[in-house]
Amino acid sequence: MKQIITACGSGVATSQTVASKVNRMLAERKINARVEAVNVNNLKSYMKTCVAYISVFPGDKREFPVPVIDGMPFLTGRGIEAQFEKLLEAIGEK
Amino acid sequence: MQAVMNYILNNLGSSVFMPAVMILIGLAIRMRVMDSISSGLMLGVALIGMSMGTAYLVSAMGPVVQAFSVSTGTNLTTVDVGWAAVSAIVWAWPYVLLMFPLFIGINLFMLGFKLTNCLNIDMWNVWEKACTAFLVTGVTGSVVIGLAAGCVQTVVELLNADAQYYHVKRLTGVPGVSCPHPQLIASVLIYPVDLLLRKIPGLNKDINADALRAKYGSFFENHIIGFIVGTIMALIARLPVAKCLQIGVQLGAMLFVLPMLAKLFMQALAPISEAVGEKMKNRFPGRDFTIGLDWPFMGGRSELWLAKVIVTPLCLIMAVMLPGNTVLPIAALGGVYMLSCMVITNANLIRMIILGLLFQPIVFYTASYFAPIITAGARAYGTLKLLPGQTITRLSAGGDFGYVLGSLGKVFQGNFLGILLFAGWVLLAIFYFRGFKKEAKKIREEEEGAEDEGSRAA
Repeated sequence: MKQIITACGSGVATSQTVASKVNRMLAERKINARVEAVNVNNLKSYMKTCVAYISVFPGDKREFPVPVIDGMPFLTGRGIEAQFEKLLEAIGEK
Repeated sequence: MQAVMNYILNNLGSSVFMPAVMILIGLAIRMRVMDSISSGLMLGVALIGMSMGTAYLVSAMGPVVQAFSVSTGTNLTTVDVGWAAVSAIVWAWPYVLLMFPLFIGINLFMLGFKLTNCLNIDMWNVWEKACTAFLVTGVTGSVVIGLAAGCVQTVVELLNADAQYYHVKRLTGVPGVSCPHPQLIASVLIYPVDLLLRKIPGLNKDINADALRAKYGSFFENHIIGFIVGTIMALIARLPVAKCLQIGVQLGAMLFVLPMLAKLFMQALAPISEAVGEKMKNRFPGRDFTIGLDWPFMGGRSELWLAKVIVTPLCLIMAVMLPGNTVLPIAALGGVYMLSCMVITNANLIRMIILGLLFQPIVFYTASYFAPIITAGARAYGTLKLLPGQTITRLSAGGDFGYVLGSLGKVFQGNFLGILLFAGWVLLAIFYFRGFKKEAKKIREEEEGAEDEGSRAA
């Protein structure tokens, strides 16, 4: 089970919204990956075990050891399909 | 109506009643039966989980806070249990779910009549409006007035999201999204003060926040912060060292675990909020509105995190020294209004810190003011087990606007100070909206100018 991480200020609302949405899309395509929502302050701990990071902080200039996918389309719905394909490519499920 | 509510609550309890309502709502919006039941029960899980967590937090921290105030000679006996714990109380409030149709109705109405350009799909923060409703109900004794206050907040949030759109876009670079978060309503108060600050030379230095943030890492992780604050607090309270370390680990655990439990509320809500969000979007095909989101999309700016880190220790000191403050800020830590400060100053770190500190006293006083109501709610709706005489609160409880609304609500009890306060707030709001409109126009012109140059160069 590939782990994908998303984070927001609390790890509760915004990141959970993205996680629920993407998990639903992953389930529909029967892909063996799961998104987990965490608190942005705890990101470092999860970097070692995840294969990608969906960021809802546009403009965040920090470097991460895994591919970073812009999470805004999952929140607004605009361009969501294309973004999902990008995510699949990043985790090697294309 | 009240009698029916009391009967239901006393016999069923909110952990049965709320899931039942949730299941009915799921069925009403035509979710599959199993999904509705799952969502409803998940809400019950969330309520019980939070109840467990906050009971532990209060029983572990309560005695420490008491000892702390005794040994420092201060009156900081109210425990700041954080937004997660207070959200549990609000979610158990019998009238909380009423805020949803009110919120959606108001948004659709305003969109339909072009009073706003913001489609607020942030269903999570409906709990914030319900929290205001809950607090104002506590202050005025009337649920109708409380819900009305929640409605007023909804309207102001949408208008504010529109007013700040270009400023926020300049900060994040993301078009098409706005932020109707209630914490931004404080901008009304903060804006005029920033205008004064802008006149002081030397405060407009450009600081490379990204470099600073990379150097000092992001804000310490929750469990580490909790450990540090808990241990220091217990040491100041003159508890034996072994006990201090235990308290440190306990608080670290609480600051880490409570938000995780609060996540369960979101999980319970997720299918419903998604369905509602989709329906709302489909209401207005072809119309170019902005999508209203929760604040994290502004969190890419390092200035926000830096300012919070710097302001937090100063706020702790302030809590001890501020006369009349009874709140020990162990959960929410610093800079509650930092978001507003960032938008108004366009992420100018120095002014953000100054403004954040200037307005922090309001945070402490309103948190102290609403503490009795939150405490009463915790006892009444049974989500928390408190020691007798213990009070709790949350730092961003109500805030400045909540207080104004509460005072206005009291007008109906013959307390006319509320009208003056509200009138004063409205005047400030008009000044703010006008000022921001002018600034927004300038920002827009600058953007378009830059775009023109770009296309000329291309």
